[in-house]
Amino acid sequence: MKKPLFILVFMILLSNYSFAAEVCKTIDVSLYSQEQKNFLYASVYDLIFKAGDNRVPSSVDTSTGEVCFQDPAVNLNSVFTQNNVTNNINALIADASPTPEKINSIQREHAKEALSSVEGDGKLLRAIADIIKDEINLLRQWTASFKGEVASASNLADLKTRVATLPNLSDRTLSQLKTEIQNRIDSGQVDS
Amino acid sequence: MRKISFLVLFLLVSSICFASEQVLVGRGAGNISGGAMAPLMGQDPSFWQFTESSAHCVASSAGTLKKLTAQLSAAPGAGTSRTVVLRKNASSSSLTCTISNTDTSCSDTLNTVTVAAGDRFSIQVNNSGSPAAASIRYSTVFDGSTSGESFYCGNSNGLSMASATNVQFFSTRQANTGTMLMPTSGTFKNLHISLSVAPGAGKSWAFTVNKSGATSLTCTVSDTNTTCSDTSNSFTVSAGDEVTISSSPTNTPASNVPSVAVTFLADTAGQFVFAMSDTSSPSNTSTNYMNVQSAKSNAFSGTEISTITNGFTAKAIYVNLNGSPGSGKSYTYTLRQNAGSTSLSCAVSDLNTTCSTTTDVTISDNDSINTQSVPSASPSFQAVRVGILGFISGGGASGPKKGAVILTI
Repeated sequence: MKKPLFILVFMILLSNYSFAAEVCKTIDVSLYSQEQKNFLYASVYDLIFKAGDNRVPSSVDTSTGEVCFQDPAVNLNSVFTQNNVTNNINALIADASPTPEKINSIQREHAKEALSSVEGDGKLLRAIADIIKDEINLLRQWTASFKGEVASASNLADLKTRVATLPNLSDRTLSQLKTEIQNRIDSGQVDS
Repeated sequence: MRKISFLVLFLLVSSICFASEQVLVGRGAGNISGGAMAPLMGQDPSFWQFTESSAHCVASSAGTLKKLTAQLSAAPGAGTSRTVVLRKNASSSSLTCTISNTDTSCSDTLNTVTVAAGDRFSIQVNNSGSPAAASIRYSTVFDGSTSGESFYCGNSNGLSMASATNVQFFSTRQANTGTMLMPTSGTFKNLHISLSVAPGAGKSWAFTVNKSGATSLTCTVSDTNTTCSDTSNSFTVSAGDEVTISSSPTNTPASNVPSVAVTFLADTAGQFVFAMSDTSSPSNTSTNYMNVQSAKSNAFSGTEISTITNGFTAKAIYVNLNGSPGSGKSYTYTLRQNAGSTSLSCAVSDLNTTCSTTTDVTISDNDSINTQSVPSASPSFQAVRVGILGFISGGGASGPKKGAVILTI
C-alpha cells in the first residue's frame, strides 16, 4: 500500500521540475559556399526571432550544419526548413551587397558623422567651419556698416570720410589660419 | 642481463621550424554599415569601404591567421546581429563569428586561414536586421611560418594616391603619415605592393622603404600591372630607428588606392611591433589618447579610445618627438590597459626628443589597450611616433623536429 503512494508522490514532485533540453537541427550545408556558411548563425537567429522566440543559438557548426538551441519555444523542424534557411541566408548576403544608391546614402551618413564626431577629425572640421563662419560674419558686419554710412552720407566727400573710419580688413595668412584652428580646438568650443 | 641503452639522435633533412605569433589589432571609429570592409590591421578607418581594393591589406609573409575576436560598442539588439568575417582574396574565409541580441562580443578560436605572401585580407561586417549603431574593435593572431617574422600592412582606406607621398603603414585616410618607430632590432624585407588601378601604359609608381632617408627596399608597379615586390633586398634596424614607405610617380600614372606590406624579422623570435605616428601633436594642456597601431594626423582624442587585443607580453615603449617639449616641460606617454596605466611609460622632457622604457606587462585576451599622452607645463606642440614591443613566447611548432629515442635492450 505504501509503495503505490510513494510512486504517486514521486511523480507529482517530478512533474513540478523541468529539465533544460538542447534541441538541435541539421541544415544541409554541403552545397553552401563559405560565405553562405558564415551567415548560418545570423540566419537561424533571424528566423527563430521572426518565429516569435528571441533566443540565440547555443551552438552552430558551420561544417556540419548543426544548429542547437536551449529549450526553444518553437518547433525547429518547421522554422528551419532547408528552403527557409537557404533563402534567408541569400537575402542576408544580398543585403550585404549594397547598391550604388545605398552606398551614396551611407557615405552621406559618414560625412555627417564625421562632422559630429568627438574625435580629432570632427573637431578639426568644426574648427574650420567655425572660423569660416566668423570671417563671413565679419564681412557681413562691414557690408552693413558700409550701407549705413552710405545712407547717412550727405555728399561724396562726407561718404569718403565716413568710409575711411571703417576698419581695414587685411588678408589672412595660412600661418594665422593654422594657429587659429589650433586655438579653436584647444579652447574646447568645438569639442562637440 | 645487460642493459644497453642507445641514444639515437635523428637529424632530419628539414631544420627545426618554430613559428612566431603576432597580434594584429584594428578598430573602426564610425558606425558599421552592412557589407562594409576595413583593413586587417591599423585603426581609425572612419570610413568603412565597400570596394575590396580600398579595404584590403596585402600580406608579405606566409603563415596562418587565427583567433578572431571582435567587440561592438553597443549590442545589436533583439532579433538583429552583426557577423564579422575575415576575407581572403575577395572571398569570405572560415574565420568568422557573430554577435547577436544583447551580446557585444564574439570570437572564433577554432578556425584558421592560411596566408601566402601576396594574399589580400580585410575584415567585413555583415548585418542581419537593423542592429543598433555601433563601432567595432577586432583582433587576430598571425602565426608566421618563419620564426621571428611578422608583417605590417597598410591601405589608404579609400583615399586615392595621386602624387608623390609617404604611404602609410597602417590604414588611415591621410597620406604623408606612417612612420614606424622600432622598439627592437631586426631585419626588414619582403616589400609587397598591390594597387587598385594599374598605372597605365608607359606610367609607373615606384615604392621605397626608407630608413633615415636611405632607400633600402624598392619595387615599381608599371604599365598594366597592379602588383610588385622586392624579396631580394633587406636592411637591419636597431631600437630607435624610424622606417617609412614613400611613393614616386612617373608620367602621371592613374590615381589609385595602394596597399603596402613589409616583413620584419626580429632578432629575438616572438617579438613584434605596434607602431603609432601622428603628424600633428596631442594637446599640450590635456590628457589625450591614441590607438596603439595607427598612422594619422589629428588622431589624438580627449575621450579614451582603445582597441581590443589577443594576449601578449608588452616589453618596451619608445617615443620620438619632432622637437623638444621645452625647458621644464614634458610629454609622458604610457601604454594603457583596460583604462588603467601600465608600467610601460616614459617622459620626453626639457630639450630631449626621445624616451624609452623596458619592462614586462602581461596583456590578456580581450583586454583594451591604447596609448596615453599627458602634457606637463604646456610643452611645445610636437608630432610624435610611438613604438611598442610585443612578445609571444613559443608560438606553434611547425615542421619536423629533432628528437631523441632511447632504446633499452
